[in-house]
Amino acid sequence: MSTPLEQLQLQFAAGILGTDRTVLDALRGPRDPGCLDAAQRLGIYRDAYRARLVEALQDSFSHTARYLGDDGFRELALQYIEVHTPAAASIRWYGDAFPDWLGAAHPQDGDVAELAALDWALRAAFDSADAEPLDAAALSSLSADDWDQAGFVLHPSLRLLEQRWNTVALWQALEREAAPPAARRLPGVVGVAVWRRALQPHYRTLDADEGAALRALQAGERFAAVCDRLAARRAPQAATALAGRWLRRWSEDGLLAGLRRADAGPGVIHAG
Amino acid sequence: MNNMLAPSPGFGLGLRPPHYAALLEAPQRVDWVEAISENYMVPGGKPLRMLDAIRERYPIVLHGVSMSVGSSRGLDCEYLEALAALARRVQPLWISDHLCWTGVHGRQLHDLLPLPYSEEALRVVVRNVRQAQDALGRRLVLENVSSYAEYHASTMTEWAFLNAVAEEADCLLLLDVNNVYVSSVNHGYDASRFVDAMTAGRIQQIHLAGHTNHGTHIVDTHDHPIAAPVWALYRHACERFGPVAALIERDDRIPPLAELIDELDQARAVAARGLHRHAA
Repeated sequence: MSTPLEQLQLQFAAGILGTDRTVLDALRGPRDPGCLDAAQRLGIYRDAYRARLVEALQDSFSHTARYLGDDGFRELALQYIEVHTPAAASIRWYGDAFPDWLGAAHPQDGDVAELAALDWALRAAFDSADAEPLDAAALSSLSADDWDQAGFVLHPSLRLLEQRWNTVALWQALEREAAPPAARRLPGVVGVAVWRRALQPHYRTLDADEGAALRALQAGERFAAVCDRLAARRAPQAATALAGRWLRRWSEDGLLAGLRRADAGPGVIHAG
Repeated sequence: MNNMLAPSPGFGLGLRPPHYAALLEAPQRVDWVEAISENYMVPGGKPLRMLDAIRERYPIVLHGVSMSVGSSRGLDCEYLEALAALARRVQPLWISDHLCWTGVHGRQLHDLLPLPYSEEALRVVVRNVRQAQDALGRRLVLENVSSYAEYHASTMTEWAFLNAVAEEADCLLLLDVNNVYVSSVNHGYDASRFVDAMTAGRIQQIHLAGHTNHGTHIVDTHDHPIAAPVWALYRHACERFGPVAALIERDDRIPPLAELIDELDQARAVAARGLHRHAA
């Protein structure tokens, strides 16, 4: 049983979100003929709600907005707003479902959805949780048995994306405020890692093997298991050399935030 | 009664990311800053790092926009816990939010929506403010909002409602004189009546900001310098309340810091004239 105040708030919300105008009966009319009437007053709140959400989306998806132009982006944003009512207390998270919605609502524009996913991952990396990078000395002190059981805690900001379009090239041109190249489907799938190093979001493309390796480590797999899979597909020496290069690169990139024993559940051998 | 107020830190600015660098590279004629709580209720990264650095140089107040003290079903406990955690990190001079509601049944409208000024709404707000104060371990500071609609259900004036909330919940008030002016034009009352009616011993802070006048109504846009009638109302408030912490908010078309510091100097000058009359 809802209270009169709750009823009023539900009606007001319905008046903002949709076409229900029940709340107008609860609002005072114009004091004199020159003043706004109740519908115009509700209209101020309806317009402000949409304008604020469009602005939040423009802020979170700045490259996507540049790609589509102000009017094109605004039209898509308004479509999204009509089907997605914000649920988080902070407007910061409002675009959470926007890339997936773009992919589902406009499947012919895969480049737009991928560009939005890259914008969102970079935005998420900006203020995701902090973690100290793993000290490279921690790696050199591991015994052979430790290596066999070792997994990695990856930086909490790391997001692994898959792209089927030349999305990184589009993003880079838009970042320079240059005309983007024509959107083009790639022959295969390209992985992209997005993470934060110090205070700055970073991204780089990954080949299929490195993408699979990071995905497996993020899921908690042992590094030795990742190496075994690599060895099954390459000459042993080449696999060992490649795994060594990955480790150095991940360490330099600040992707490694800790070591853990994969056989000991969450037990951390060495936190970064 | 004055002893429930924290001493005034002087004249401050709303903390906005475009001003981080200027605030950090050299001391500025800004006595304190007000951070939007939600902008720093994030897991990590640059926002919190910047806030920590600013905190070393300027006293900070936390100002929230989504507590929704007018929510008929009570406050969001997760939100309160996150705010309390941020307050432990920042140690703000005080914590403020708005006398409004921002969502219902899990739908967040991200706006400062008006309440009816009724006995029922008063009971709800008082209960919620007490819940917030228990969670935060301190008095909450509540701000009057700009509004564009009024309800038939209101049985008292906004100022009577605000005073009653402050008295019954034992909280403090943030008087936004721009919001008073905006609402007074939109609803046709004399803004000075609002200021004259407020309980002086509960005014912890004053807000100043710009607005957009559409002729038929005014919208609280925070994208312009402070307008003349708002300066006049601020001077009136200084005459009535004496030295109260004052802060300028700018949220859109944000100018360089120096320009806002000039406006802050204008506030200092207006306050000095008002205080002269207050003392007399």
